[in-house]
Amino acid sequence: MERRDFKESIDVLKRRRRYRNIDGGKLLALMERADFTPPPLRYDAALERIKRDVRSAAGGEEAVRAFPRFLRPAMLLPAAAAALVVAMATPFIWSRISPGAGDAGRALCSFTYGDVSVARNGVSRPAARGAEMRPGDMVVTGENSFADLGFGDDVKVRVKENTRLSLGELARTGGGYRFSIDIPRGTALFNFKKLSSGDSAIIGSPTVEAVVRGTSFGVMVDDEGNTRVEVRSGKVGVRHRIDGALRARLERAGAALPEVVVEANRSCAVSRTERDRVMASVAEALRAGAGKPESIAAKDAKAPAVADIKDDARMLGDVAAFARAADGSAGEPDVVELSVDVAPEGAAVYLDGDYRGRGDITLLTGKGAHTIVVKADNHADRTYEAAFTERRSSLRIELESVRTAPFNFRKWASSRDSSLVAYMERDGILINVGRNGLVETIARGSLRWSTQLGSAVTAPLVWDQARIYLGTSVGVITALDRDSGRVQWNVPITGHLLFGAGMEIFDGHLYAGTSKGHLYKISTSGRVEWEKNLGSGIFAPPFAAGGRIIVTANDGMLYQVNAGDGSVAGSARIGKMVGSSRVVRGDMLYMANMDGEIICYDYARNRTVWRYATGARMGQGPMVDGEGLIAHTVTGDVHRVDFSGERKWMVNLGNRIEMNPLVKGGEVFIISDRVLYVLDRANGGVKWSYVIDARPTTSPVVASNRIMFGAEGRGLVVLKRD
Amino acid sequence: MAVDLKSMSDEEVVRLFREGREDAFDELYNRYHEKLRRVIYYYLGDAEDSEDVFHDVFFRVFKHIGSYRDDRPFTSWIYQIAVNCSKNHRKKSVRNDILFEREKDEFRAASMESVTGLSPEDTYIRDTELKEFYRAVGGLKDKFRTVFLMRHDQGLRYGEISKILKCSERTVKWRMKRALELIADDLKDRGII
Repeated sequence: MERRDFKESIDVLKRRRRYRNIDGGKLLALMERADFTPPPLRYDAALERIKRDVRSAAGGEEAVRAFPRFLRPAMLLPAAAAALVVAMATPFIWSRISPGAGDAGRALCSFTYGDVSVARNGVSRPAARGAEMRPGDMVVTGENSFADLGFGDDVKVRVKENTRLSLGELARTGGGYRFSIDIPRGTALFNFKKLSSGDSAIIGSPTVEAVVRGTSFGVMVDDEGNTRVEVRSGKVGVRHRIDGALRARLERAGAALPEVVVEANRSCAVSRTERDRVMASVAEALRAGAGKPESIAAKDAKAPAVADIKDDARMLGDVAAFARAADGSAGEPDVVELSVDVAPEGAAVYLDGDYRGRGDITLLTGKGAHTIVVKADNHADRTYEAAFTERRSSLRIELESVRTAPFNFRKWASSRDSSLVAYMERDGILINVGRNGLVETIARGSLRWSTQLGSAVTAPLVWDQARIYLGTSVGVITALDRDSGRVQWNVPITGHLLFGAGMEIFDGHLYAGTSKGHLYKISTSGRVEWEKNLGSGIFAPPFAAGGRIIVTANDGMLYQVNAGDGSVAGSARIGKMVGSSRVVRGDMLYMANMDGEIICYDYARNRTVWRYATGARMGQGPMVDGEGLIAHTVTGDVHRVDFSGERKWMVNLGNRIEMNPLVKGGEVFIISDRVLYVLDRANGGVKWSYVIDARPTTSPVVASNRIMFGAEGRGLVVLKRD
Repeated sequence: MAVDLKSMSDEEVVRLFREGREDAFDELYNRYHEKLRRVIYYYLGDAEDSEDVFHDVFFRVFKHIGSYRDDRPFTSWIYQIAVNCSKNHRKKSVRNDILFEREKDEFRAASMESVTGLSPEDTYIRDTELKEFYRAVGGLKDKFRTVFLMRHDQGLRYGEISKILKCSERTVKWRMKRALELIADDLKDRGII
């Protein structure tokens, strides 16, 4: 729908009295600005998956060799219909990927939503569907997030929001399985198949141990450790939890704390205070020599109280819904064994972004869609995406030597779908980021590496000597190895880096502010040093000065945060600033505000030094040009102002300017609508211009004697200077 | 003899597909995958669900291509499959797991917002206002939202939409007008426009 059509629709609307006074311009701008594009999908892989599934539904290998025969409806119908019936009969949550199974010593993450991470050996990574969980792993869910875990067909666990859940024993022996989970905080729902005599399952919290006898129940632990267990069906034995030396002494005395059995539709709540009192009583009993097990059980350590659930159920509804979904998956094949043969020998194999090993390898993972990436030096990476449904699958992935395929820069550039372009001037490396999250680097006329991220990139790139850092549309900051492009770490963040919010590298750390107002200090090795919630969205990159991190937020405040511990050292009201670029010079901060003014703000003394009115709204902040500032407005005005706030020149380019300009040497490169202008920095005169026959998608970069920018459907446009 | 599929009409490509040409299916897929995925996304508002349904739609195109009558536009036929699959998926999801659907709904507006991060900054339309716009669109009833997005995002003509949704052109126009009114009411009440 064209702009004209939008406008006509709004004009018709405004003819009605009810809508006469609405801001039609704002509504028009919102309609133009809105973008309902779904997140990227790898269409080639999706097509292959469709064909494979059609073939599979129609009868396996024989059919693969005769693809077109599928087009005969009579042949296809019964098998396809059967496949659809199976698909539709499977409960929704488990049909999205594997039914959540695991293997001896492992659990599988069958589903995640929102902010879910797994901490292993002190390193936290986002949890993906199909990821393996091992004993010792800590699953952490954020606000409005949850994860589903499975341990074989026997145990399904839903980790609710704001929960920390630690996996203990996950072992299967000849006599049964041993399963233990610890919940320091939050809520988890459990669905166990009926336990056999050799099976053991214990859920721990800071105050209780719940011995599972089956089958579905929930455990809720608050910040104090107060714990509530609600049982929907089956039985759970609950006892106070005692750890450490006291537990050892109790065991030496041959005593065990009494346990209460919580049956269906009953609950058991244990407070921290009550548990501490029991601990004190037991300690006193042991000290007094009353170490007879029976006497401790009877007198000093009463079992927790059990109550009927009447109107105070807090988890029962969720437990029931979860059990229904989990039960629906019973009996399905749930684990996929993938035998991957690779060439050359020793190529590295990654499953869903996690490194799994080198050379031919067997991978164990959940049924469903997975991405396998194989990498080797001097070979082009290969990505294999497929839905694995068979219990055992095998595939061979051969890499092509990059030496046999000379790189054609012109051809490469014309086929790009760029959302960001950057140039590392010192090393002569061009970085192109596609709208689908494909990151590529070019140097000395050849492709150095390419890495496909799982999501689009939303923030300007920053880099240091070792890594390139990117903010993605799924709320994760990713670090890529600068030399190989391999993902070195992912750090989930609360919110996104949006609307020009970028990152700053200072003193070996990365600082980033998010759309939800969280400011992060992250070491370049991927450890979150601190996180500070400022309470209002951050849409401009922070900067460092005098041991403080300074950032403007959407509430009109300028915050100064101690770089050491993240505490707020000071704040001042400076008004709402436009996001994106800002200039810092000495104690002076130059930004654009929402009233179309450039302001020079002395952040050391908290005062505005000068204001310069451009007379129109500004889309981005000013850029530094060495001796002054370059700023532009949405109406196409370009201003050059010196550091004292005095205008040097102003030109109007006639059309809207949406991209940040580039100031380089004595020239300003700026795209207005569909024209690239090169202005003389000294006087604003147009030196030359170039009409782009497509909508530009990136700001321009200048690399060597070439000017480059992305354009819709045209790839990366490369202009060579005379 | 080499045939240039790209220069053919949809209906001609379908004919080749029925005759057993796999590349004809690839061509249809290339022509429609982006459009259909958007339509599905309009309905479901969830990228992962959309991928499942997207897969199902093309699976059904394979399955039912024999039932397509080439005296009517292929565009309408394939869009109808996408719309039906999306509706069915929504019904099924709600029926199977109301709890999950509720949790997912809370993310719908946020996910719509997050995919727009690549666009150039425009502070006239601030983040919060755009979010409110997405929320207002997302809050429309299915019948209004679908028409609004088919027209707004894909630029489909009223006649095309009416064939896809199997209703009169007049109904489509009324739904579009009503969708815009409801969005305007919502944004006006919040002091945005």
